[in-house]
Amino acid sequence: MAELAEKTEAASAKGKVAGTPAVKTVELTKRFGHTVALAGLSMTVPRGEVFGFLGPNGAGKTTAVKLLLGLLKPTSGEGWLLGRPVGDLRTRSHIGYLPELFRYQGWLSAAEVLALHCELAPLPRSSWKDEISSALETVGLTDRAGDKVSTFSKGMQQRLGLGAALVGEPELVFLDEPTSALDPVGRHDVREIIRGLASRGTAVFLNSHLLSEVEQVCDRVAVVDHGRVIASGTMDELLGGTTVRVRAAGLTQADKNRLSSFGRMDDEGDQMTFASLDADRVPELVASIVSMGGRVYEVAPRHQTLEDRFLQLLEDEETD
Amino acid sequence: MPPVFVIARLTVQESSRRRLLLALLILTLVVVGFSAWGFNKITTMTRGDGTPLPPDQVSLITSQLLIVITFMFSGVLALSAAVVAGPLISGEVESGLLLAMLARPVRRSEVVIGKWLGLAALVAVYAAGAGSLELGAVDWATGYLPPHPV
Repeated sequence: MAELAEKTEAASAKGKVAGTPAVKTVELTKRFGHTVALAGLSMTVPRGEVFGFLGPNGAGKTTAVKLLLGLLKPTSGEGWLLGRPVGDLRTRSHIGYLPELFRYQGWLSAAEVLALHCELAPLPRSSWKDEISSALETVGLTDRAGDKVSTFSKGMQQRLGLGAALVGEPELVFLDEPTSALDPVGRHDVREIIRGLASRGTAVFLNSHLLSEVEQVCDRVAVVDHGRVIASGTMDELLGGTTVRVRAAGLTQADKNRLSSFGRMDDEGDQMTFASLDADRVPELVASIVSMGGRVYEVAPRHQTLEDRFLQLLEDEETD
Repeated sequence: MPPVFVIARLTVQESSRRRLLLALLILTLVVVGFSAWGFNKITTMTRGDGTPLPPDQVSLITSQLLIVITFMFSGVLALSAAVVAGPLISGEVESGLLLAMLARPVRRSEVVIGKWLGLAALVAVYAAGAGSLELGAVDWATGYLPPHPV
């Protein structure tokens, strides 16, 4: 697709931090038997950016993260993290990871789990105390530091996992659905944490299907479906278009079909949403509806949201 | 500490925190107590004419029975170690417990060897402890101690 070429160019031209990208993959492929989980993933994530990795369920998001972390072996293709090939042990001391399926040692206290991660990172023992208290502080678990993880709720365990991903000031953090178990306050906190990471130059690889969340924090996104990137770019590049919602009565189905020249349209009876329509063409659209005998009650152009774009991309992909 | 030993320590820590060791200790004490009571019975047994067994005969019976008991200990120990250890790693993979740890600079082999080391240490300590406890109990009950127990 055009977006694919566009993205590769954009990535190489806009790598604002000198040196190697945080993540780079070339035709990364993973098959489980006959199931293709990832079909040639090629992408670049610059350092210090918040990168949103989007896709419907089963698109291969988690598989991609596991491949990058070396938890799975790729069937073919290559990947690099922070300039070193995927699976390199030394690189992993600069990486944080919150798994989608997170669980921590229930018989340890929160502080002990973090100490374990400090030890495995490995960080010098003298820094553990500060690392642990700052991680607990960041995820809001300071007053539960000494409590056993088995007494934690799912959301608190996810917070703890986030804390564990943050120890040792990683250069790259993988967050796989980091808010799946969190309440709205927790989600807000996670967004703040991600912004904090970005401000100190940490690249964040955010795996999510919560589009509004991605939209709020990400600098750059890639949309995957059926194991390949179907679009990617900065948020502005991706959300260039305008969406126009029209409320009009008196149109027959044939009339509506004739409006297809205005791009993809969501037809919900009197409500019609034109997913990607240039604002300049709105008067033309209204004129067409009126000329067909339609009565226009409302015309509401707005900036395309990530959700509009996402649905449009997936639909285009289906029809291709 | 190298990751292998961190994992080994974690394994030992897990079994003690999860009260596995406590349960094992209690059960062992019960078994040893029962066997001591049984061995003590040998010394009070009488022959058909009402006279007690001579000390040599007591020692002989005790030594034979002790071999059976220690054999039972080693059999149960080997079996239970296998039952405990078998699902240990696969369980942690399934629950996601290992995911976050494996993303650290830790080799998979280090996880497996660390787990093995931790369990081996536990089993060795238990075998030594339970064995000497049993020998001590038999010594107390019958006055018999194998000449070269180790």
